[in-house]
Amino acid sequence: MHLTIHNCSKRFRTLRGTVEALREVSLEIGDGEFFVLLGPSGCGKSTLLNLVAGLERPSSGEIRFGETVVAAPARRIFVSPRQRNVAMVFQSYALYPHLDVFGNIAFPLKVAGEKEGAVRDAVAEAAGRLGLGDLLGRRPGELSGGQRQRVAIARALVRRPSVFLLDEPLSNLDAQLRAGTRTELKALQQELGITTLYVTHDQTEAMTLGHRIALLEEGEIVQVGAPQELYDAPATPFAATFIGSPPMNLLQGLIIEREVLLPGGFLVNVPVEKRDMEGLKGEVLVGIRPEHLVVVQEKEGAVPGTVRMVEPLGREFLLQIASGIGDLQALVEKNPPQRGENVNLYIDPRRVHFFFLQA
Amino acid sequence: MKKLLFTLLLAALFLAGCDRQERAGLVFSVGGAPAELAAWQDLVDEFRQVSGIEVELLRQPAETGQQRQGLILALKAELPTPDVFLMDVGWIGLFAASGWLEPLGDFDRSPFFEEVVERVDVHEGELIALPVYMDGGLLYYRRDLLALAGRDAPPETWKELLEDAVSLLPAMRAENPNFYGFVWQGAQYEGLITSFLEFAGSEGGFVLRDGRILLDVPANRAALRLMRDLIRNRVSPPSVYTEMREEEVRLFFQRGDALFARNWPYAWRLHQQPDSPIARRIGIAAPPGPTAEERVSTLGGWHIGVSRFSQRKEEAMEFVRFVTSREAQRRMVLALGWNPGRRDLYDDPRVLEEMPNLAELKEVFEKARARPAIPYYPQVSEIAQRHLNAALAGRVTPEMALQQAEEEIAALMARYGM
Amino acid sequence: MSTESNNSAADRLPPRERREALAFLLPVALFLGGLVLVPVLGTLLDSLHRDVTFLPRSFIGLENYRALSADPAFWASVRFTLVFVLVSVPLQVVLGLLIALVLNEGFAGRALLRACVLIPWAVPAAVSGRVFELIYNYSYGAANWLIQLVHPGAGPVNWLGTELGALAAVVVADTYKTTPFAALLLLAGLSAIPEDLYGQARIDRATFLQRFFRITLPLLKPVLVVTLIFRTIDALRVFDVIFVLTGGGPGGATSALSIYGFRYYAAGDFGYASAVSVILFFISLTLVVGYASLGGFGREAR
Repeated sequence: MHLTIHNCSKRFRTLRGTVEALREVSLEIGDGEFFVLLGPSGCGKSTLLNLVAGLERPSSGEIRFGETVVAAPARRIFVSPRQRNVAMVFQSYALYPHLDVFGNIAFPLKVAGEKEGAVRDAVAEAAGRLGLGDLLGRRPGELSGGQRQRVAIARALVRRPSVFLLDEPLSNLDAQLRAGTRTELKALQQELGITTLYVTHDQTEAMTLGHRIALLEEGEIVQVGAPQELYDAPATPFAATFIGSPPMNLLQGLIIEREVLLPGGFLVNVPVEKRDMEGLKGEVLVGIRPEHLVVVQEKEGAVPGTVRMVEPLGREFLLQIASGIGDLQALVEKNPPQRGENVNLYIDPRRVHFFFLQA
Repeated sequence: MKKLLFTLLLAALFLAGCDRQERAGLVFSVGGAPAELAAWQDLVDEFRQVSGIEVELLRQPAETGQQRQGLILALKAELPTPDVFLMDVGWIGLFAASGWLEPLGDFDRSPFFEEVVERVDVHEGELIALPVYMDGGLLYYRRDLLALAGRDAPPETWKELLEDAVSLLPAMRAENPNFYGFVWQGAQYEGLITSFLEFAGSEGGFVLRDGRILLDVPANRAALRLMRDLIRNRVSPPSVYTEMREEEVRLFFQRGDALFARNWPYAWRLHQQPDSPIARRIGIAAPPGPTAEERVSTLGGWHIGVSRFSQRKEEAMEFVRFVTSREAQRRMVLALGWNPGRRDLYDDPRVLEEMPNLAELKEVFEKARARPAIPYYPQVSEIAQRHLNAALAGRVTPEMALQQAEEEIAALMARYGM
Repeated sequence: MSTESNNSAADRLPPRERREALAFLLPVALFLGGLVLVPVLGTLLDSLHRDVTFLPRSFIGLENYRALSADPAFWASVRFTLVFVLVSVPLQVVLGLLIALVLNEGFAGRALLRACVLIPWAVPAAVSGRVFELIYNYSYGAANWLIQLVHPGAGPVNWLGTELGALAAVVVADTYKTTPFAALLLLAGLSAIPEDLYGQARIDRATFLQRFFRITLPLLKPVLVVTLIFRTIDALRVFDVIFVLTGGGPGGATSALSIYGFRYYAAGDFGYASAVSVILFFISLTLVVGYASLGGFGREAR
């Protein structure tokens, strides 16, 4: 199912005035795509999900499933969630506590009036796919977090929805379980090919799961693209620091002809690809990812600094460095310098990102 | 067990009255309308001046059943207060038989209605109460309307009353669809019995024979049938058996919506108020009967007694003497329009000036019929009330009602070994 | 992560702490014993005696109960009380549920409405009964006035004059007063149901009625049972409203058990009246014990 979200806004009236949760958001989501809505708390991603589900009505704009308009306040069109054939997994899983696992998974089918036999078969299939075969008689209260989540997923998929919505489904799981479940989810989606809209605040999840990611900040879409795109070419400082862990280093700079002056008097040459900056003047934010800061021996063109902290991450080491251009984070794979040591950092101009502060 | 319960009750009462000061004097329990209580307060103040004894009024609700209830609890627990209290004629017997009344000793009974005193205020030879004011059922009638029908005297039999009502109803209803012929106390309470006794006449009512109380007698059957038919034929409003107590009857009659009313003497004064629509258009008479000779008026009234558990009996006696004195009684008569318990006031010129009809009433009271002086009268009455009211509501036939009531009363008496 | 709770650890207390626990419990036990146990036992004992104010007190065993069982008025009272319970309790609970459902929705002024709903319950029953007495008054009551308004020409209705009318009047007056209590209990139960479940159910394509019957009702069951039990026990003991409104009439048609017993207290026959009280007590006790044994006061399965 192809989803179209066109200029959707959502305004809430509260005691303190009107809150704009979403501002003119537009997205096109392809059939079978695993699409991630990423952003910090309060950015509107859950609201957007609820709009697609039909749990909320947009204040303006239009939402279409394929050719069908499901929400268009200007034309007084609104299709209720019941009629949209969407399935949703809430952050809390929303399992019916008074029904057992079988009852939970069977609920959508029973409600639709399916026959006993068909229900049993469908539930068996869904339960089998998610490894719940032994748990069918248990109540949600007797299940672990991971098991509950799988029941929620099984319930969502048992009736073959056109759109599959997930609201931070992994956030209640511990780290180990999270990684494993992530993989399973990805495999499941690829196997079933259902258009999936996935909300998370965790950029790792977004990067690993999504075909494409929409990054939201305060109700607006900051950037849409494949994970690698967002990583390699973030559109704003916000995107730059949100994607990628540890986050990109950002420094204040000043454009001087073809060079950028950094604090401490260091100059960075602007690479050929970025020559469209020519003619521009003024302040600019300069970004360099920690993995692109190289600890070198020579001092030519390198930034001197002192190591303040060494954090071992297992596979690599994260260094906190106080340097002439500011506080920086850098990653090294082995043989890290000691704390308090003086080091030189080389900034590869091809890896530098520039963000303009004046439009 | 008794002591434990008593202690607990005392503790509860103590806690309840924790903020009250130490009782300085007598406690006198009396109920009634605000005007009555105000008059009592005046009397009590005068008593204090005369004797130096403090009397505290313990105000009670106006309804007789509720007053009885409150007193029963205090007396069963043998509390020292109230020291003096007023009792309805109907339950003096219960109190006396329960041993709660202190004998009043030598009192000159001649100023009072001796027959009443003999029947009601004497228990096992001892005088245990005195009448404060008298009541007897009366027939109120619209003299002006009766005159229209060419009658110059009120009916003496129920048949006559029915004829008078029926002849006038069509004309009256043409103008006022809410007009009825006769309103009387018929709700399920003691008042129903007082009305019933008058409908039944001297041959009916509670017939005590061979140690049994009979209700299923021809006079009663006729009376109950008459009462039911009055309602059925819309001579009396249906609310008679659901709502009508004294005040409801009075208000109905006072609005001018009835030709006849059965009520107590207290209503006269109110009916004659300047703003009453029927002032100066009414008369009173003894209630009719099945025949002119069988007419009765049910005796009512309130009597004063002293608690056997009082710790101030001397002072209590003095108070009783004061309240039943000619002076005090005259005051209350003039203040509240009462019918005094002292017969010697009925010739008093000052009193007669205020209440000229007192002379007629004296005769009524002298012949008034008391309710059975048995200690379990309240229960007998409750049984009778229920069945009579059921007959009025049409739930049972009058015959069945009287029969069932009689059976239940017999069972009650058996339980008490009577 | 299993959520099985177990309290076996708390079952074994060291002796010193056990003594302390008893010491803490003692005042409460004395209080409850004094205020509850003693009067109950006292009444029970009294019911085995002939305790009439004007007769000597004597032990008569079960004689009072035998007389009770032979009294047609007693059985009429039992019948009426049962009818009253069977009519008014479901009515209260259903109405209370409807009110609770409405109050559970968020809307402007909801808090104010919630407070207003409590007003009938806060008014003393006797006052409430008097007001209804005025409403049902034959000559000048609001009910008959309304009928005149809607149906001019129709005569006034004697509401309290028939058995059915009096029952209806009493049920209406009592329900008006007690429904808020049921509503609030049920509202508490409703608020405990997570909102998410309804969102999920809507997405799972459940209609409004399906959501009500498949989610709300099952999850409300424990609170519903509690409400039913409490309301039933209260309805069994109904007194004030009936006493003020009909006095047990017409002709004893609305004489509930407590009114039947009251008349004997007010006439000085304490033994017999105690027997009636004991019977009422045992009926209520049975209900409570039954409820507890069904696990009502125990741990809920989550």
